Formats: sequence, C-alpha cells, structure tokens
Amino acid sequence: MKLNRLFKQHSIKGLAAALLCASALPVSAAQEYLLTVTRPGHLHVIDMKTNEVERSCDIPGKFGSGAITVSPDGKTAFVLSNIWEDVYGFDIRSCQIVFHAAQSSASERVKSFQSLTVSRDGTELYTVQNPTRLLSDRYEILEPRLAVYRIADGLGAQPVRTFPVDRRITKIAATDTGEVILGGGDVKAINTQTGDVRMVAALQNWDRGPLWLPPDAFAMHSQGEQANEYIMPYVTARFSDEEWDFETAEWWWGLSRVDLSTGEAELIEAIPFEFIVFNFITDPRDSNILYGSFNTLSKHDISTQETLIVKEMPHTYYNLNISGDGSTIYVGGTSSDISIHDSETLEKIGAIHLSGDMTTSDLRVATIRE
Amino acid sequence: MKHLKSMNKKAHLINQAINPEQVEEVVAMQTVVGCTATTDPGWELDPFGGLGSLCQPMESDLYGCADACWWPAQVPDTMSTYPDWGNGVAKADEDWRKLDGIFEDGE
Repeated sequence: MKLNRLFKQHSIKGLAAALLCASALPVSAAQEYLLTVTRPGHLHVIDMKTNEVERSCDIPGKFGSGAITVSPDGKTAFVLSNIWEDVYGFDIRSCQIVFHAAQSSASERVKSFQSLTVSRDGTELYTVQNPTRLLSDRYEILEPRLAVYRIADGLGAQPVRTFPVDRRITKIAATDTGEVILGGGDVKAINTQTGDVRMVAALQNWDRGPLWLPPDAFAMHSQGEQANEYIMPYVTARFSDEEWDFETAEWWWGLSRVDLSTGEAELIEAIPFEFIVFNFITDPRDSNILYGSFNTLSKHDISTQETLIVKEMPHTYYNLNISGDGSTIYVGGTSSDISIHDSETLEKIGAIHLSGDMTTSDLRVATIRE
Repeated sequence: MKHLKSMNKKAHLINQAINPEQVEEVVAMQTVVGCTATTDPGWELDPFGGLGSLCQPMESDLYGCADACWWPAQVPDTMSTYPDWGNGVAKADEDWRKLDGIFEDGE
C-alpha cells in the first residue's frame, strides 16, 4: 500500500484553524486483549499479559479488510469481513457470533472502507456505506451514507437510520457527545440522531495562506483507544516565500487529534517530516509522547518537536498499539508477526506469530474490567 | 505531457523520468520487484524522491495492495473482482510464488 499524495496548490487566504487542547486519560489496567485479523479469516484474541494467542475465531465470508471496532465493555469485537461488505460481532470470550449485518443486497453492492465504530453506550454500531446500484446494463454510484445499526438486533441486523456523508471517509470513531468522527478529506463529526455534520478539523479546506501546502492526510487504521482519541496524521510544508521551492520548504508531520470525550480537535504541526509513518499512537501516560510505525518504529516528543528514537524494522508494519500502562508497544499489520517493544527504549522484547498475514487489519485493544 | 505542468516534487521527478534519453534505463528497471511492477520507478517514488520509504519487502505489502484495491492495475483487485486470488496462501512472505497472474481467458 502506498501513500496517495495530493499536493494541491490553492491560493489560500486567512489564518489557521483554532488550536484546541485534547487531554489523554490513561486507561487503568485490567484484562487486556490484543485483537487482529489474519488471512484467510481469523480473529485472534491475544492475552496481553502472556502475549499468547488465547483463541482464534473463524470469520465467515471471504477476507475483508480486517477492520475491527470493540464495544466499550471490551467483550464484543466487530469485524469487517466478506470483501469489505459484512460486519460480524464476536464475543471474544467464546468466539460466538452475536451480530451480523450484510450491507449488500441483490440490487446494491455496499462497501465500507474501514469505517466501523460503536457508540459509547454500546447500543449502536455505525458504518459508512459506499453503495453501488447494480442495474442490468450499468452500475450506478450512489451517495455515501452513515448507517446506524441497533446492536441488540443481533443476526440479520438492518440499519435503523441513515444519513448522507462525504465521500472518501475511512476510519471513524464515536465520541461521548453522541457524534461520530468522520475521517475523510477533512475531519468532520456527524450527530448520530439528526445527521447534522460539523467541521472538526479542516484539512483539504484549510485556510492558512499561500505559504502553507494544503495537507496530504491519510488514515486507514483505527487505534487510539488507550488515549481516548482519534488521530488523522497529515504532511504539510511551509514555504519561505511565494517561489514555493519544495527543496527549501520546511516539511512537517501534522496531527489532527480529536479528544473523544469532547469531540474537539487540536491541529498541530508536531514532528519534522523525515521519514514515512503510517500510523501514530499516543502514550496513555503523556499526550506529548507519540509512537509511529512503518519501515521504522519511532518515538516522538511533540512538545519539543523532537524525534527521540528511531528503530529500523525488518519489514513494513502498517499499524501499532500500546498497553494501557504505556509500557509495551505492539507493531503489526502487513505480514504474520506482531513485533513487541519496550516503550522506553523501543528495544524488541518479543514477537507473536500468527497463522496468516494481517494485511490491512486493525490492531485493537479490548479491555475487560470484570 | 506537454500540456501538463508538474506542480510538485514527485510530478517533477516523473517528468524527469520520461526524458527520452532515460527511457532505456526506466525500461530496464520495470522488472517485477513489487506490487507496482509496471510503474516502478516512475510514479512509485517515495516522497523523498527515492525508494527507501516504500513498503519493504514487497511480500509484506502484497495483500495490502490487493485487499484495499490500492493498485488494481498491478495486483488483482481482491475487494471486488478477484476475491479468491489469495486462496491457499495465508502468508505471502512464505508462499508468494503460488500467487499466479490473472489471465482473462482462464488459461
């Protein structure tokens, strides 16, 4: 998978979006399980105390992205399966399937591009549907929509509400305020009762004047549960003058970081853009400390705009997550091994070998507090 | 390309790559080295103008390119058209040789 870079040169006037502080609350330690999906179709439940696979659940249907979202009580994992169309809910304690929504029908093919999330009260599941009407002589591309499912409907669930949304939405996240964060060209939030949409962080539509390059934003994997946040990283450049010389520009990693308790975002240029990072996560103990993965595992302090540690990895890893106490980093996605690292030094301290490739799958943490 | 103006660093590098005297060099590099075989190293430069920040090795990225329909001209689109392409190959780094090309006549 490669970054699709959109370098648009708009003539932009005005000043930046407001900077709003988000706080990251540490999650108290309880029983934590690391969840991921591998080909051809298994949901792995990994005990994060032992780093052993506790059980592997068979996922019906063909492999379909491996996107995962977890219920607030940590007991149910919802997985996108069947070539990005169906959602299955698993009780991770037993592998029992407790929810199924087939989004497509005979006349309409519906894909969701990673976009799954559960309401904070655990009663509703949200997906962004990208529908295509299958006519006898042509396909008709329909408008994307947020679909709301009642989780209690169980197997055969149908949407109870739908609302129109933008195109290009990938990962989404529910907030305590009853909204769902929509990560697309911009970061927006939709009220799940009324369908009202508001701008959270303008990216493709930001307005910082001609010396800033409109950001190239990307978010495909969902994590951030350990810091109660949603991160959409982006790359931008600040030019020294209107010659727009790319060689002399300052290049930055930026973060559009949404506090899921308030639905408010901070938009900051945090780290010099020196290498590719596919996903960032925040240390649950210190919201200034971030970790990133791709061909490297890296540690950053955004308060000083410093990259603290960079470790070369043996292959690309799309994704990463962290234990609730902030001590251990898990790096995964792409191949069949999860690499385990000490968060202080980033030294490798272990590995988990799985039965197949994770490819685009999420790496989520489910915390059960019973 | 004479009607198109390169607007960023990557596009400028692409223009350089299609300079006539460099064609033979580019053709020589169009060997299968990843899931973007037919576009290496033209479009498929990393943001720094090199190859070091592309996914490595290609086996780790193979299904990521196919499952997300990321490079449908280079690897089969397993999201819609060829969902069974990876059947029997759970680990691309071990069994990538078993992943066959797509032949529309079925041969």
